[in-house]
Amino acid sequence: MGVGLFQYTVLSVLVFLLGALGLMIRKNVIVMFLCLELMLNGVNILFMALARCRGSVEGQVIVLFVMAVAAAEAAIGMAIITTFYRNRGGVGVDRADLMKW
Amino acid sequence: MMVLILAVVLIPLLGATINGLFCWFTKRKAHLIAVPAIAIPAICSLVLLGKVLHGEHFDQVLYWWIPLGDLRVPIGFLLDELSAVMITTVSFVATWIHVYSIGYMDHETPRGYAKYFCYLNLFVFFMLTLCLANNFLLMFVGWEGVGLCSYLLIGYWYEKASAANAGMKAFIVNRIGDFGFMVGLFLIYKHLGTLLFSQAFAQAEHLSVGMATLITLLLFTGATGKSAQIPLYVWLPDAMEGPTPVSSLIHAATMVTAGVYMVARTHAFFNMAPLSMEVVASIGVATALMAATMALVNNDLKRILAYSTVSQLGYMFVGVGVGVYAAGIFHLFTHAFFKGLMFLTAGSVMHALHGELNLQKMGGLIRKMPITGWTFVVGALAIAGIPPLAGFWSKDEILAGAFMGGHKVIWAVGTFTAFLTAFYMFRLIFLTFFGEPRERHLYEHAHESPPVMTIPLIVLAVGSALAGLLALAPHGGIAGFLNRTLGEAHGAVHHEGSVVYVLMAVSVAMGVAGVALAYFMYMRRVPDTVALAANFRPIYTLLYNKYYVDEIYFALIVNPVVGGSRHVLWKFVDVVIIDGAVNGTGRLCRLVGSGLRYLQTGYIPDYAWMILVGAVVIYWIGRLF
Amino acid sequence: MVINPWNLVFLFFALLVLLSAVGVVAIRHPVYSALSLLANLCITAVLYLVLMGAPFIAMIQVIVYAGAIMVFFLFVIMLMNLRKGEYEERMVPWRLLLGVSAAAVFAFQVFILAGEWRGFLPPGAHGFGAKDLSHLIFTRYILAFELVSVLIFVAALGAVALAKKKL
Repeated sequence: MGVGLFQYTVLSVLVFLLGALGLMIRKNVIVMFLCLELMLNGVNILFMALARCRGSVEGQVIVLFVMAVAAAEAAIGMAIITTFYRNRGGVGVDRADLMKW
Repeated sequence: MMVLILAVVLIPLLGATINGLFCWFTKRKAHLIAVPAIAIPAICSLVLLGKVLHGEHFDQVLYWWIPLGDLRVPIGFLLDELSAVMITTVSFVATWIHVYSIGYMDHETPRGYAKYFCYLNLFVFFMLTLCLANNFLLMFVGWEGVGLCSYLLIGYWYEKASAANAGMKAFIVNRIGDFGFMVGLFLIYKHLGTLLFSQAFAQAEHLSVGMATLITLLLFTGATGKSAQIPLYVWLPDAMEGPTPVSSLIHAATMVTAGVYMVARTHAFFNMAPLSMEVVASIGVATALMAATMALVNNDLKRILAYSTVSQLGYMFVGVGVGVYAAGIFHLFTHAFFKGLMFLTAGSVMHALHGELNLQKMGGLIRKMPITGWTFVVGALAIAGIPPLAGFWSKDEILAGAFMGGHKVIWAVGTFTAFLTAFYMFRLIFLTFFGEPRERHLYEHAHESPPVMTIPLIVLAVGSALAGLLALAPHGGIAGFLNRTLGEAHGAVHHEGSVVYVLMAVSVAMGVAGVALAYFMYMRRVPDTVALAANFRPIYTLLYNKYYVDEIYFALIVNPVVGGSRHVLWKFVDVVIIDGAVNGTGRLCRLVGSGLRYLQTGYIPDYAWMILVGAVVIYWIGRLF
Repeated sequence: MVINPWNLVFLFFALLVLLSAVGVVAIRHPVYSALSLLANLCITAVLYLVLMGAPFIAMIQVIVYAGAIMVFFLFVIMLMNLRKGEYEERMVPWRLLLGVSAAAVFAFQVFILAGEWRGFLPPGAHGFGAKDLSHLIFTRYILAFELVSVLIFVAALGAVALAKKKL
């Protein structure tokens, strides 16, 4: 009995949820952004596992696209964070409270 | 043949499009587009008429417009004797009205001038579509189209409140009739499963008499609206607010004849329903009499002509109602000439007198404007039924048809109306063109119109004089020609020589008597008109106020609708229910929002948490249901 | 029962992946947090390379993700040069509780779902390389590929527009 899809799924979901947890409990926007990348990585693992399982290459193509989008996202995200830092004088996400009731 | 038919229909549309889209460019030159755009179809339709004379027919689907399962409606054209006569009449008279308009609309702004010609071409386009359609729905397109154009043209001077109101009145009254027409179409489709003329008429005998009666009465409701019969004639006198050539176009060629044409076109249904025929003939003759009496005392030049149109349309409906369809269409044909002519002369008078329409202020104008005056006299003689002018032949055929068909009362009333017609027409002439001028300065400034206006008058006067002679053409004349399509007259007229001549003599005598009475009353002043009006004051007042029909309609229909709208629909339904619902919705949203907004912490991690919880909830919802 | 050596390899790397992921979430200092993510990405790349037969993706993961993107992150973090008081972290216990419970429910339901999956992944380094990927990218996914390039271009412009003080 080798390593099956189930084990990979567990790994991927755990990575994903750790990222999500970080998003939910951290306040530093930079770290939240890192957690976002972590979530993407968790999803990537699942894609890779499924591709391997089905013996197809398409999952890898999707991973490639996820990476490309992540790169674009990182550029925009970092730009937003620097602007945020400049305008709000800190990186705490609770400083962004214009939309608060 | 197809190319010619397409040319007849599409060239006016092209003209309208050019003048409509490029009015900023065509401006004062709009007529250079518009007049050829109607003259070419006129020539084409003459060629087509020639082909039809040789027995060629055309009935072809060009394109399936609405291919919807069982409901298949094409764009297709039907050219037979009936539509050939119609398009020739329409395009020929319309051409001369276009030419005349060049002079008449001279004082308009450049854009208004282009707009006017655009509408005029569009009007003719829709009328030709109506006449050439080979199915009910395409006919309905033309039917609605002429309604739209009449609205646009009657309200052409829309800055004037009365013109705008008259346009709306025409539109709304027509809409009432159109409702009946539409329901008729639905019934035809429901019971025959087709809207194509050829198929529908071939299957007409499958209809039960009751259903045929219902359908024809509904169709006739449409015709009363479009062709200004009782009870929906009220829009036509008000339609005089439009420019006079437009009145001419509406009365002579394009709009009001549509109803008569439609009844003749659907004669297969009407033949199935004797009761409907009775209704058509009765309403026709009642309208003829009523409108003629109203014209007796009116002092407005154009309104008298309008009432006379209503009256003459009544004759046409008598013709189609008693089963002599060809005579009805023949009267439509001759009427197009002399009524088009008379409106154009009225426009010429208005042009000369700076818009003055009151007969009592005119007089003696024939010395200032001989062409206008004498052409008008020709038209009036034609409408009065003096042989050998056009009106005599067609009116006589209708009355003879009524008499032969056993409708003696209708014949008697019709003949009496012919007397009234001759009387009021010559009252108009004697007050306007003869006698001494009653307003000196108006008379002094009067002048003959430019040639661009008088030439159409002369052409149409010749037409009015000679058109009736077509009745004497070989093979039964125009009636025989039309009967190839319309079938031998229902309740056929057998020309029993002597009776026919007696009838002719009676109607000529009536016409002459009317002219003579008018002469004595308005030229010799015996008996004195003022004293007469005083003696018969109740009748005079009744007639002068047009039987109070407008007032009755206002009291019975318009005021209840307006009042109901104001007090029920506005003050209650709108303010309380609809506004209440709208404001209540807003208030509810605000209430809910003021509670829910505490969810909006503005704190991103909370949103992330909600997304995750949402994913879980959606999963379980999908799992459980 | 013979223990399959591949299972041990998987277990080892999976634990490292999870450990580094916990590090990303738990470490207070952003620089170390980012370094932990870097480690996570690299270990995942090894997983791809050794166990899943995807050398090309592993390479890209290291070069682009770990190399370029993470360096960019670190650069920004260091540029801000946050001091100890400026991390702005005050852990709120009930938030932690809520977050963990939501994540636990989510994990639970996914595990139930995935428990029925019987797929098997052949371990080893033999798999698909750059040739297979590029074949697919430039045929079936050509439109997506071009769109992604446009996206990256727009993102670059957007980053400039956002971050610049005065345009």
